[in-house]
Amino acid sequence: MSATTLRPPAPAETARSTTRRTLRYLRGVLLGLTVVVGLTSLWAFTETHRTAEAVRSRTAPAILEVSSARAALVAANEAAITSFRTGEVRLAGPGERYRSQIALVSQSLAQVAEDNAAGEFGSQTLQLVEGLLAAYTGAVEQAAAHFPRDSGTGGTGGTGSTGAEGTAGSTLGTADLWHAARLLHSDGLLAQLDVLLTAQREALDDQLAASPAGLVPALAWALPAVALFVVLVVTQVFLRRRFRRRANPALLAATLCLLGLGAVMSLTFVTQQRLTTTRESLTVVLSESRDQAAVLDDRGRRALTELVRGRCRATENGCGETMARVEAGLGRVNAGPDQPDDRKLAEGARHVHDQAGAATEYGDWVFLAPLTALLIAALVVLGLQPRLDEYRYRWR
Amino acid sequence: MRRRRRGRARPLLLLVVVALAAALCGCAGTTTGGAVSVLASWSGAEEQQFRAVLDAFTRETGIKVHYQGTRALSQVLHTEVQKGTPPDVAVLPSPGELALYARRGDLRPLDDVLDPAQERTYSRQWRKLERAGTENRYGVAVKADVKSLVWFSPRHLRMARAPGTWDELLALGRQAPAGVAPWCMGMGAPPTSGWPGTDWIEDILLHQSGVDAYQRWVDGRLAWSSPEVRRAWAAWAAVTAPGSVRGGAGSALLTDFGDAGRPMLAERPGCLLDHQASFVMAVYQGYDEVGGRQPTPGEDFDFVPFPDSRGPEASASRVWEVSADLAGMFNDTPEARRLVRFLASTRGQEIWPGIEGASAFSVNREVDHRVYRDDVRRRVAEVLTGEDTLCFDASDLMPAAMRNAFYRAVLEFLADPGRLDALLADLDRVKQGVASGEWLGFSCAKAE
Repeated sequence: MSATTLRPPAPAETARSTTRRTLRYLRGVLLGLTVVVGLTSLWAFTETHRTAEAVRSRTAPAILEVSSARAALVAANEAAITSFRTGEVRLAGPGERYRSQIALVSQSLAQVAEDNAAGEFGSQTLQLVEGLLAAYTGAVEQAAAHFPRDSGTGGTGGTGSTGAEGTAGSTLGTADLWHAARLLHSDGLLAQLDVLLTAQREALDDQLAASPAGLVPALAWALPAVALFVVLVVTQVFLRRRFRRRANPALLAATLCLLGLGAVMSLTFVTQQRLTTTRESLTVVLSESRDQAAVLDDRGRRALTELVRGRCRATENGCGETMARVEAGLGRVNAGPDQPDDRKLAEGARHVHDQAGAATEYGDWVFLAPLTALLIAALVVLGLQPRLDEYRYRWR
Repeated sequence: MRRRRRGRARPLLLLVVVALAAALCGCAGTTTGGAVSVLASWSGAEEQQFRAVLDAFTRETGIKVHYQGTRALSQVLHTEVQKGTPPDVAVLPSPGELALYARRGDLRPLDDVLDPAQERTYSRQWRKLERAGTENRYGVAVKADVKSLVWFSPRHLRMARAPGTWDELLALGRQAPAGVAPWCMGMGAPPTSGWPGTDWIEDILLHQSGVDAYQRWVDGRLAWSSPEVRRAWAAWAAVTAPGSVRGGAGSALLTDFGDAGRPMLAERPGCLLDHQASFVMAVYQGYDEVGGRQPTPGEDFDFVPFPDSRGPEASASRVWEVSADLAGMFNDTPEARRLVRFLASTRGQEIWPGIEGASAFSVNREVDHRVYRDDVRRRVAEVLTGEDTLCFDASDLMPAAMRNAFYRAVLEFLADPGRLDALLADLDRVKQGVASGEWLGFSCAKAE
């Protein structure tokens, strides 16, 4: 041990020890921030793509299936009324078109049960819908069973019955058909399907709002990343001043890696944007489907009131208060296409599926976030360690 | 000194990581203690009214209530019970359902939940009815209704006294001027269309043949084709005969029960009388037929009791058909116990009846009848808390297959009254197909 080592530190030595402490401090902060950036990036990337996957595989299909069930139900009702109006009911019951549409409703609801994104409330509403659907189909089948075998077309106004039994059958069959239609409207099946649809759409809104690519959650990973960038730059400047080096290559590489990580993370915004576009496309498809169903529903309701009124108007006030109120509520639907454009709706649904699928495109790139963070950490150590060693040697 | 400085970054880093981890695992969730889940069938305005009761409970106890209202209560509750995740408390609209869950052991008895003082606030009849035919008390009536009521408009029908017999009631209808039908009627109530007609048959049977016959019928021990039951249907035929119902029987089939009373309250009435339960008051008050203003109880509508034609039995005690929404406890938790106690308490019972426009009636005898907004409601409350014999709605107690067949038979009878014998035979066939264990064996309760 030489005498010089026993001397109190000279001003220059105090400065050197401050440099060493600063170097160690910067290394600690850089590594700490790298860990934070790595974790938050991993979280943001994973959560964004988990949301995208949930929207693609469950929420968007659930919304489309509820809409499809609603449209099929309206079509089934219109088909049944047509069958009753034309007399087809005598041989074919409510008809093949009715049955195939009801089958479609059942399939769609089964799919909604699998994909339901609205939790317990969605499940309960679905149970109510399924219960009402069973009651509706039961009422239609019962109406078909009671409709008079010898009646002509109901829409012309004649009862067509020849005896008391025929009249009773006509009355009951008409009432059954009317009750079935009431099950559909008046806070019935269609209203409950709307409740279910709204619940699924709200679930989608919640999913998108909670996504880490949203503005506020994005700050959780963007702020540490910016802080890391700033500290990297500060460290470069510090090294340049203290060690007279133009640049520290390893820290420069770490900075480039950080920028690369930023580029990777920007993919979450791309994903989010695609999810938002998916939602907009869904809105368009739902609106189109609703418009088409409204026209068909209006036609069905008019045909039904005409059919029922033809059978009850023989008696004064024979159609009752409810019929009068239903009739008063008709006539508010704007003109639309004669038949639902199924192809257009199918194309819209396919478009939604494609967009939702595109939103999940970068899901497999999740490994890039921790890998890049690891690389940055390694480069920070690599960049600062020689300076620390060098300083330790000088100090000793 | 150097060692201490070197370690300064570590706690900072640790803090950041811990904070981040906490955020990641969502450890900042809400507390789960002090909550109770409630399932009921009420939605819309009724849900808001029931929530007022639940909010008062939360204010009083600090216990949060998670309410779920669904019209598919039976299906939802059945599923939840099967999954082993029932709500803590469910409000069942039918005592029959309550009895079924009690028999299966899904419900927790309330005997040690309600203290004796609280028990005494209920009449002997309700204490018996709330047992739902079981050994223990399983239900608390959140609200109740009287069914044996005939509504009329004092503006259009002057009545010196209430009709005392069936014949007097029919004679009252015959006062209708030309162009006005004696009876308003609506059977529509999808998916249970027909129940307003079953109320007619039940009331007629109860007030013609007496409590004993009614109980045997509800228990499945009296045939549909028996003279008593047949006589009830035949009596109803006098009401549904051509010219007696506004628009005829066909019109009744097409009209929703909630619309049936509209012509009765209109400025120019279309019918004079409406047989309906006390809950119809809220329906009437939603009408706009009375010059665009809300109909007023006592002025625009009032009721008389369904006439009793039982002879000597009638003079001993009146009998009323009633219905109730009963709260049952599926999970025995301290919070659920407190809620049940609150729902049964005088304080809990007087909230809903006091809400403007609500048709809710308490069976708790200590509820001050001044909470009701009008005299008509007070008279309904007096029936529910009085000394008369009370019988639950028969169809609510029947096995599901029997109940649905009953609804259907009412519709078929209206369409073709000539098929009565065939219909009663069909109902007996359905009855034979029901397992004997499905009949509940309780329906009425007397004061003594």
